[in-house]
Parts: sequence; C-alpha cells; structure tokens
Amino acid sequence: MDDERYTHAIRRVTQLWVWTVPILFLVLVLLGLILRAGQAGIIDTDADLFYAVMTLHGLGMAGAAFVAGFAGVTYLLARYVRVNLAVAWLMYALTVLGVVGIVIACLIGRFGPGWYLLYPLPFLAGGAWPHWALGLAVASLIVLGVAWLLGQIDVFRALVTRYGLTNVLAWQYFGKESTGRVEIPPIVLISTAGCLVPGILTTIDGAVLLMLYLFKWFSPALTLNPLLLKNMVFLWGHTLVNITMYLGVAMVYELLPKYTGRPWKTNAIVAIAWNAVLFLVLLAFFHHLYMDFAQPVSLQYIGQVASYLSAVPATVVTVFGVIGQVYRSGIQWRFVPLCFFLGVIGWVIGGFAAVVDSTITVNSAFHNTLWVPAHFHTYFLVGYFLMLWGLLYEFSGSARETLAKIGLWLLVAGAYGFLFMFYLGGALGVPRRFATYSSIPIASLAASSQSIALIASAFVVLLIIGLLFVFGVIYAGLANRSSASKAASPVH
Amino acid sequence: MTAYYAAIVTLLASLAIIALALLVSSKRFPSAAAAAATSTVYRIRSIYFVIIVGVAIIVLAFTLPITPYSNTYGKGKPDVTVEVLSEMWSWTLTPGPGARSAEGNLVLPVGKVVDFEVSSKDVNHNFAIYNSTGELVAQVQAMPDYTNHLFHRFNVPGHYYVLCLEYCGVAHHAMYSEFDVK
Repeated sequence: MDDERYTHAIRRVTQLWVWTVPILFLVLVLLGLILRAGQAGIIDTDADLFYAVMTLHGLGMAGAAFVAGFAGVTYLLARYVRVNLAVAWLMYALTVLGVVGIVIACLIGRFGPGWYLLYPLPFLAGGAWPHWALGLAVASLIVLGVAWLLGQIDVFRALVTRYGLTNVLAWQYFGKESTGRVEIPPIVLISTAGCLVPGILTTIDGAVLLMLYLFKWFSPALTLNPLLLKNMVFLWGHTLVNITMYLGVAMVYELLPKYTGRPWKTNAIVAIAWNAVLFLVLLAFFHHLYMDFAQPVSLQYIGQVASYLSAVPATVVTVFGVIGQVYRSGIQWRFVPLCFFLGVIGWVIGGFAAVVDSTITVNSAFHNTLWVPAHFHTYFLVGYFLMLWGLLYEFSGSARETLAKIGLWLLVAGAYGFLFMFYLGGALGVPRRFATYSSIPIASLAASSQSIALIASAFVVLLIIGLLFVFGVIYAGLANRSSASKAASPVH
Repeated sequence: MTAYYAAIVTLLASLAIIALALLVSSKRFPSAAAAAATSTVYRIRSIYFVIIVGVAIIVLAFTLPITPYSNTYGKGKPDVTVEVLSEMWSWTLTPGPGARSAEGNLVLPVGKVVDFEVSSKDVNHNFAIYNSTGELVAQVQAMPDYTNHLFHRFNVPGHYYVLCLEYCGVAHHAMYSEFDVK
C-alpha cells in the first residue's frame, strides 16, 4: 500500500471515531447529570438505577477517554509509522461490542458495583443485579481489554520496528550527542514511555483480574484475597486513567508547534522525564489504598513519594515546554491552541488537587469525599478532554472559529462551576457515591450536600450547551469534508 | 481542619496557575524569536526544578511521620477498645475494655485513646466518623478477612455519627450508626 492510500485508510478509521466519540461523551455527560440531579433531589431515581448509571458513567467515561485518545494519537503517529489497519478496525468493532454488553448489563441488568468492581461486591449484590449481568459485564470488559491490548501492542510494534526498542524510549539521548543518533519526535517517546509500556503492563494486570472474576463467576465457591484484588484493580484503573492523560499531552506536543511556529524536540531532559514517568506512573496507584491500614506501610509511603515525584517531570518538562512554546510567540489564539492551552491549565490544577490528596494525612480527610471526583473531573473535563476536542476540531477541518470559541468558553465556565461545587463538597466532607443525601443523619451535612448538587446540576446544563456548540462545529466540519471529497470523486 | 487548609492551599495554587497562564499568554509582551524567549523560560525552569524538589522533600519530611497507621498518641496500649463489625448495610459497635454501653448506645470517654478494631463480614465498607456539625473526624476501611486498627482520641464530647464511605451496594447511602463521647 502506498503512502497516500495508507493515509487515506487510517483517516477513515479515525473519522469513524471522531463521529462516535462526541455522541458517546454527550450521553455519558447526561448520565452524570442524572447522578447530580438525583443527589440534588430534583429527580427521583431508585437507588439500584442510580448505582447502575453511576457504574455506566464511570466505566464509560474512563473507557471512552482512553480509546478516543488512543485512536487520536494513533492517527497522529501515522505520520511516522504504519500501524496495522486490520487491528485498528478490529479495535473499533470490539470496542462497540464491549460497550453494548456493558450498557445492557448496567441498564437492563442494573449491574451497579461502581466502575472499579471492588471485590467481592460484584458477587454479593444483595439481589440488586442478577448473575447474568455480572457475567456479561465481566465478559464485555474482557472484550474491551483484548481490543485495547491488541491495539497497544500493534502501535508499540510499529514504533519499535521503525526506530528500535531503546530508541523509542529515547535512551540514545542519555549519552553525548553523536552524529548517528536516531532522532525521535516527542510524540513517539510519550506514546511509548508514558502510554504504551505502562498501558500494556497494566492491561495485562486488568486481564488477570477479570479472568479471576470469570473463574469466580463460574465457580462461586472460589475465594480470593480482597486486599490483593484491591491493589490489582487500582493498578489497572489508576494507570489507565493516568496514561489517558498522557495521550492528551502527546497530542499537545505534536500539534501545538504548528500554531506557535516553534519546534518542540526531544532532548536529554525530555527523555529523562518521560522515562521517570514510566516508573512513577506504575507506583502512584498505592495512594488509593491509604485507608486500608492492613496494607504494608512501606507501600503507603511509596504511594505518597511516587505521587509527589510524578509532579516533577510533568511540570518541569511539559508545563515549561508549553510555556516555552507560547511565551512571546505571537500565537493567534485559534480554537485548537486555545483548547490545548486551557487543557494544560486544567491538567495542572487537577494534578495539584490530586497531589494534595495523595498526602496520607490529608487523605484521611478527603478519601471518598467529593474531593476525589473533583480532582479527576478537573484533569479530564477541563484538561484531557479539551485537548481531545482540539484534536477532533483539527481533524474535522472545521473553520467556524467564532461558534467553536463561544462553545468552548460556555463549556469551560460550566465545567469550572460544576467542579468548584465538587471541591466545596470535598472540603465539607460530603461523601461521594451516595444515591441520595437525604439519608444522611446529620441535618446540616445533608442540606449542604443537596444544595451543592443542585448548583452543580445547573452548571452541568451550561456545560452541555457549550458542548453542543463545539460538537456541532466538529460535525459540520466532518460533513463538509465528506461531501467535498464525494464531489471530488468521479462517479462511475 | 485539615480539609479546610488543604482546600485553601489548592484554591490559592489554582489562582496562581491561572495568573501564570494569563501572564505567559499575554500579548503585552512583544513577539520574540524562539531562542530569546525560551532561554528566559529555561532559566526559570532550572530555578523551579530546585524549588519543587526542595518543597516536595520538605513536605514529605513533615507529613510522612504523621500517618494514621500507628498509635501516634503514645506508644503502647490504647486506653479503650471498640470492636467494629460492618455488613451490608449496618454497623455493630461492641464496647471492649474502657468503653461502655448506655441505653443500647456506645459511650466513649473524652481524652482517651480509642482503638477501633474494624472489619467486615461481607464486602468493603469504610468506617467514617463525623461529629454532630458534619465534620469528618477520622476514617478507615472495613475489609473482609482483615482487621484495621484506627486510633483516635476524642477531645470534644458530643454525639458522633458513623457513615459508610466505601460504596457497598444499593443501600450504601443509608448505612450509619451513632455513639456518644462523654
């Protein structure tokens, strides 16, 4: 296949993702609105439906974020390497299959143990969901895991084939500069060290966990160690979410220079930083288990130290890299660079809130309060996803800058209002994952929790209006492009 | 108070980040060649690197010794023991040595170190103690197969509530208990 045909083919599969992701995201946001509105007491949701929707929202958002970013970065990497197109299509097909299975399990089967399926809750539902719903959910997650593992292994293969194993990790930059050194663009290094290597390792961990669940599903008498499984699920879930964030960063590294006119190259500092990330990203998950006092204390310390240190490469290299790109560059703040810049700001704010909560003694006050969804919604909603919308807009070829920017500012205003309510709730000790706050026996806490949810719901409406603008513009761009390409093609 | 201090620090840091972003993207600075602009940025980056590593080490040095994993109120045995057993969706608080029960309610002494021995009969729960104003006082996971020891000293008498802070199924939000400190 020649280069032009390959580029066209990879564009087609990416285009399908670009059509799919905004709709999926919007539906998942609406599910989130149902949760907050239910907590506010505006709508009446049965507890089993609430928790099933909560599970679907969590699994859906984490999965959609990862797979959309992965597809986007694969598209950008296609400038440098050739991925297997059959694997790319298979990944889409299996993802759809897995998503359908999870939707059926959650909405029809009322499967609702939360995204993390914390052992042994999925097996002790107390009658809330049937055995088949658990089996279907686990099987669907295995399908997704297989799809994403195949995709990651294939991109890793493509990169290593082109550049060599140590070169994709940028180890050639550690020594003195030599004439024969293989230069790699930063997106290759970030994809490998920040995403693919930890991603493949953690997906294998997730696969083992899900296979254990499947064994247990077939043979209920099987008993497993709850602490070990808790470690495994957070190694998988935390790392997946973390590397998703780096997929967004990879997009920024690749595309921001186009708007600033400044090159962004790999050098020794960038190489050291992302190799450090590779290790730190696999160790930070221990901070999810601080309140499990039975966990060895040394692992708790590792969790805090790794969480703190992970802020160093992130800020020193990426944040200062972005500053170096933007500062006095005379950049025109078009929609795409604005998304990237705002996205980095959201990432840093959310990251700071995460580091605060990764302090063991602070976690005693914040663990499983609204502070937790506050920080990860920050680095997703106004961090990673803004970067993704930038990429989607770029891909769509849309030029409706004014409408897109109006949408972006509405989205950002709604999102920060919504997030502020989460943070306020966290500071007040409001529990997360409560179907209703009216059950809280402390009247003042119940009242403030409901008020916070009510205000947050209003901000979500604003954010949805913003999203409709942005997605409308992206879809209009895609539609124009496809009608233009049809017009250009001769009819036989 | 930890939560309020942490929230204020986060708010101030967020404002500083936004201010920095406005400064960096300001059009008041004239455009410059990449080399001239980035040399300034990289100089500041070197200083920032030293500062952030220094701050991280100092904060780690201050915070790691105050983890909730041991009886930091004094080495040796606690003054009071309470057995906490959780199950979907209730708490059973059984007074041990140093604690008592009055009219079916657990009563704990003020100013004494209490060892809550927390476990679960079924799934993961989270034993979270709130005071009557709704402030989260202390918490620990309640896990099947393991016993977690939460040491706490109540300096303020009053009525306290126990909520579950680990999602544990359809009635998770309604799982609570209460006790008194006198």
